Amino acid sequence: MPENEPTPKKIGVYLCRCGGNISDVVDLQAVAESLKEENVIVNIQDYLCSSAGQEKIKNDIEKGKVDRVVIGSCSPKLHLETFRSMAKKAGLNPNLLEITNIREQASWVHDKESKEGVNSKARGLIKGAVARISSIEALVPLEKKLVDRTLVVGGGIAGITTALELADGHEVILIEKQPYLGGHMIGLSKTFPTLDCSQCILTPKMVAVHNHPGITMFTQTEVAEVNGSPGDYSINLRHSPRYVDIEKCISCGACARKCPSGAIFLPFAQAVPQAYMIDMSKCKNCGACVKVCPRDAITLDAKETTSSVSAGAVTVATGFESIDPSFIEEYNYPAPNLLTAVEFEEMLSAKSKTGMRLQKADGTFPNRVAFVLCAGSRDFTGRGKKHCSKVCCIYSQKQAQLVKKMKEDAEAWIFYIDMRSAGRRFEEFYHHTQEKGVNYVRGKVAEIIPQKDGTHMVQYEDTNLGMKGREIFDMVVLCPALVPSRGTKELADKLGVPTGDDGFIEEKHVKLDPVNTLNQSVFAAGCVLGPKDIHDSVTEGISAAHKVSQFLGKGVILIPPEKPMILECNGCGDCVKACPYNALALEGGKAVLSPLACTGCGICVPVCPIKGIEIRNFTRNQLKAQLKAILGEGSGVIVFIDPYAYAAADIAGVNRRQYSSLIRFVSVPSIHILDADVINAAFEYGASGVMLIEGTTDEKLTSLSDELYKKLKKETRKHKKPLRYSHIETAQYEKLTDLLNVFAAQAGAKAGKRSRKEQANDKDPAGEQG
Amino acid sequence: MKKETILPESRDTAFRDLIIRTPGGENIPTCMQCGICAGSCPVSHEMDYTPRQLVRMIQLGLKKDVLNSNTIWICTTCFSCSVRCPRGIHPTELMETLKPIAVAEGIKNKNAKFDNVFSEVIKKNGRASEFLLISKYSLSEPGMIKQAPFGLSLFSKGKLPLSIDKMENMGELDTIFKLGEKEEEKAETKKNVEGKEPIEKEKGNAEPEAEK
Amino acid sequence: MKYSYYPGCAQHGTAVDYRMSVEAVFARLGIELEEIRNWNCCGALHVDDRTTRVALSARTLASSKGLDIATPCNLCYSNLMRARTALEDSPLKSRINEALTTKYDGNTKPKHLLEVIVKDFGLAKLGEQVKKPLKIKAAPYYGCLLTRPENDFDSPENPISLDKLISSIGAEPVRYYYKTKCCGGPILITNEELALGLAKDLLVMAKDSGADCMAVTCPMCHLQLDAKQKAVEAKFNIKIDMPIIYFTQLIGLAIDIPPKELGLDKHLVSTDKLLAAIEGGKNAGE
Repeated sequence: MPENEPTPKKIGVYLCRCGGNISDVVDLQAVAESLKEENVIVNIQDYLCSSAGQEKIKNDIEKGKVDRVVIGSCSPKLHLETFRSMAKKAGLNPNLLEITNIREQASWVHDKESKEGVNSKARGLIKGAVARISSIEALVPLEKKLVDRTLVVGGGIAGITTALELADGHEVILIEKQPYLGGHMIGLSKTFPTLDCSQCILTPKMVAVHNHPGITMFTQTEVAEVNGSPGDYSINLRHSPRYVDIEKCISCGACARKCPSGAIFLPFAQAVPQAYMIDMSKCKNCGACVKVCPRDAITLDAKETTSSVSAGAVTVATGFESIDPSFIEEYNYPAPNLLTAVEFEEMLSAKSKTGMRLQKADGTFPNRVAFVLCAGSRDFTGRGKKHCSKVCCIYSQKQAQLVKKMKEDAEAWIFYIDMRSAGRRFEEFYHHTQEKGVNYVRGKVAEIIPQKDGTHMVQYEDTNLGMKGREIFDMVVLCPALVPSRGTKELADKLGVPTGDDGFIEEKHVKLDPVNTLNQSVFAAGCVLGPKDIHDSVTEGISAAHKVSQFLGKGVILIPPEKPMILECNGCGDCVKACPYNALALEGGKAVLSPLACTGCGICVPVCPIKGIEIRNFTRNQLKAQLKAILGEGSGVIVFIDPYAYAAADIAGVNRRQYSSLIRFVSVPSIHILDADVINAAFEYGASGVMLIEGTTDEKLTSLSDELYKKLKKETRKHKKPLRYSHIETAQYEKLTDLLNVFAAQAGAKAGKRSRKEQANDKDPAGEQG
Repeated sequence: MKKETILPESRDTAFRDLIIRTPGGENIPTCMQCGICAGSCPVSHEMDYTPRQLVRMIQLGLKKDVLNSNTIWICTTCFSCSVRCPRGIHPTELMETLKPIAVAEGIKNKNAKFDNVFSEVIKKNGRASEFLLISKYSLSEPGMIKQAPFGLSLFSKGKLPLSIDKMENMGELDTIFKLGEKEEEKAETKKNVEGKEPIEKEKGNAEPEAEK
Repeated sequence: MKYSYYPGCAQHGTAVDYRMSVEAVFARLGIELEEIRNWNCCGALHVDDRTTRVALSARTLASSKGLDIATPCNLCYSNLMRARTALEDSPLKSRINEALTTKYDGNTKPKHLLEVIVKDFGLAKLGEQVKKPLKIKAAPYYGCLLTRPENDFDSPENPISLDKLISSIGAEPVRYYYKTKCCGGPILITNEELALGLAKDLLVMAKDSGADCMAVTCPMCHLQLDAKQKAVEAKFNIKIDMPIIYFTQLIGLAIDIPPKELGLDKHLVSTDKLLAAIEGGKNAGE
């Protein structure tokens, strides 16, 4: 056992001031002082992540001064890889370097607390890390062979680009929910700022996807289920019936001519795949089409089918949708001649149902058109969406230009709050639109009242003048908030990638890793990462393709080595039954682990009746040693937290959401590795309360959490201290800090009561003596 | 009204901070000047500053202009602005906050006068008798004579009884009115003691982050 | 069904017709309204000091005897609702409770009579009681303070409970986009010019929408739209002649209470034509 290794470890503790970000709040000198007796080397730097900072650590390792490293700095999510690759270069096993987060979890969230509160926390966390690093094994990550195939989810411009960019080097499966490719872009008319026609630039790409031998394409298809593990997924797809065989259909149109109810149709002329489809809500099931089809392509009783594909990587490019603005009741949507911008675009696009003519409900041209920006955006009351949808300022100007182009004396008004035209050629576009005679009003539209004659009264304040105004328009176009398309959250959950509180997928790093997600084999591109224009979606598609290619090119995936070790086994098989991933089996009467199937969740640890299973580097003794060291620097609340919830705490830190400095996080791969032994130890070492915070959306784990919590509560009851379980997804950082504060207050109050009681008890015997 | 240059000396940050601390004022710093308040307001065209402009003036601490504006007295308290504001600002409540401050600063207004008559009537009787209200207000507002036919028409339908509706027992109501007066006095003494900076943390609301 | 009843000052003055209809209708429907003893004015919109304003309503909330408080007036309702929220601030609550003999425990729920009928009594049940379906068109007018700034039962911008009530008694609610716009009531005395302009917009829109009458839920709105309608006509030189009917009066007519018992003769805009239309409708219906 590593804990019994005789040679003393040479531990180096490196603390980062982060240019004041940390040291303005945390007294790093005092932390260093407190480590004096620990027999470690301590060093404080301005920026550890700088080359000078890294060089110092590298030197110490190379000279043999240290052989284990604790870094006190920002979140490991930012720089763990940076430091570990430095350690590797210096000849140290990277796993022997760990980061303690004293920025997002201390200086940024406790700067309004007492200095001593923050300092005792920082001392505790660092000492806990020292205790931990001295006890861990030098593990080496496991390697697993990758499946060299990518699933691209979403056939809009981002997904199309990703697929095409990848397909020359790697196999691609592209799936699309709609019956045709092209996403929102195929529903656009002209595209800003150059006003080239959307279908003209997109159609060649859609055809290229269709014809590329490296791309398998499925339309009307969604992800049903994801099994397997990163690098080696088995994904079940669900295909809705089209009733027309895409391969056989030659788009001759004989079927549509025979159909009495208009149920069979070509989605639109340029649609890829070029094949008819049936709207079953209209079909009378007469079979006329079946009989007339020269290719036997039609099957009226086709059913939903499923298939399974394997893939090493997934790119999510599921895009956006425009929010339904009917919740903005003062706008009275829907009403005739009151449309969303998407509806306006479609009228002028390949998907047009009016022959690409702009027209009112009565078929005439609208002579006065209003564009209403920020419909349901920039709203912090919970009624609408907080974020800016980014593209509306520019596309509404484009639409206004189109109105003027179609009829020179028509009026186009744009109601805006801030005209945001940052980006190459966009200010020029704004200027050009002004030149065309479009009328700009700075003011959010207050209400839209439909009139009897189909026009609309728009009421607003012209904020540049401070005057209220009313205008009648023939047509009003709302520019609603853009949100992730329906089903994004469900898909993200299946793939184990977090979404933000705005619903968009979280990037691995918002600036430096913009198309990676927190799951190393899942990538994202386009509007599923936030509203953006075609240019940026294409850029992200290319980036994602590059990242996927880089990932698959390695051939293998590294798997964290923190897996269960079976130290003792009586062959009862409880762990085998408990494992949700079938990673354990009984062989010759003993439990045996298949490490590549194992996710390291640790469910097997507490279920073993003889405590014969431990997770490497998260053994009961290792956790206890860490807890003892943390709580030795002052009582607090121990919060065991999994990596997903840890990411929420990081976001709370970045947003400077303050919470009690009594909170001490202890990172665990999953809360399911914990048993009463560890929790009781925390209470014995002085924790005033313990929380288990789980962020994973893996139902195989979360479905067992309640049971675990109940069991732990029962088995730790004797301490009469609070224990709480909570599920916090990455996006819920506000809920997280609220929860932490409430719990810290409760635990603190309870501890106060207890200590008064203890004091009273202490007095009693003294009284007897006297 | 003549507009003046915004100078450091015209900005009163203590006033701004006081307003932001009052319930409903906490979101004022986040106003993005979208104007949905003024656009929604049924009477903003009568105001010398629209609600949006008033919020901006508070952000800057332009105390004199804010308290002298007719905006706070024109407001009909319909709350259209409050339910629509995308930043969670409550202009209607802001007007309510500003009214007593303006009165305390000696600003005179018809509406303030009416409010005062109203308060006096219920202080005395516990209930608001329309007859009493109108007659008392008319004493100080000669223009009210124009309303005489209106009063008469109501009277003819038995809608303006001359008997005054009163509470049976006024004791508790006296205490309630004293509660408000006590706070006014407290603020007043504080103002005197501290000179330039009035009314510090007088309401004592500790939790600014309470969300609905 | 039983409520603590907070009538508000207008019920003893300008809204005597509202009071008559409430008493007649609620007695018929079997909803008991027990008037709070020695109640005080809510302060309407004219008590500037916040603590006093909240305290006036706190006293009312405290006297509910564990029942929900029902009130016929939008202003009273709004003040009670806002006070209830303000009193969630416990320092304020304890300061105000010091002044009260019966303390407020924080648990009283205020309800407007419209909510009592629509939600608690139920429109299906009301429909069963209808003897004379009103074959007329009514513009549902809620006013501002019934749904804003807060209410527990309908949307602040586009409420529908009164619309549904109108349907349930056999009448037709017209599409009325001004249903929650301000009538100008609060500035009726101090800024008549402006107030009349607001009332005009509401009345003209109601007329344009083809309504035979406007249904209202508040004594202040009624005063402004009914008693001041002549002034509006004179000022803008237009003919409106729009009867303004309390929703309780409409219910009363539908459950066949004589118009006189509902105070319909006390309106300043004549209700005769409307009543004739309703009688006609009855005949037509039979």
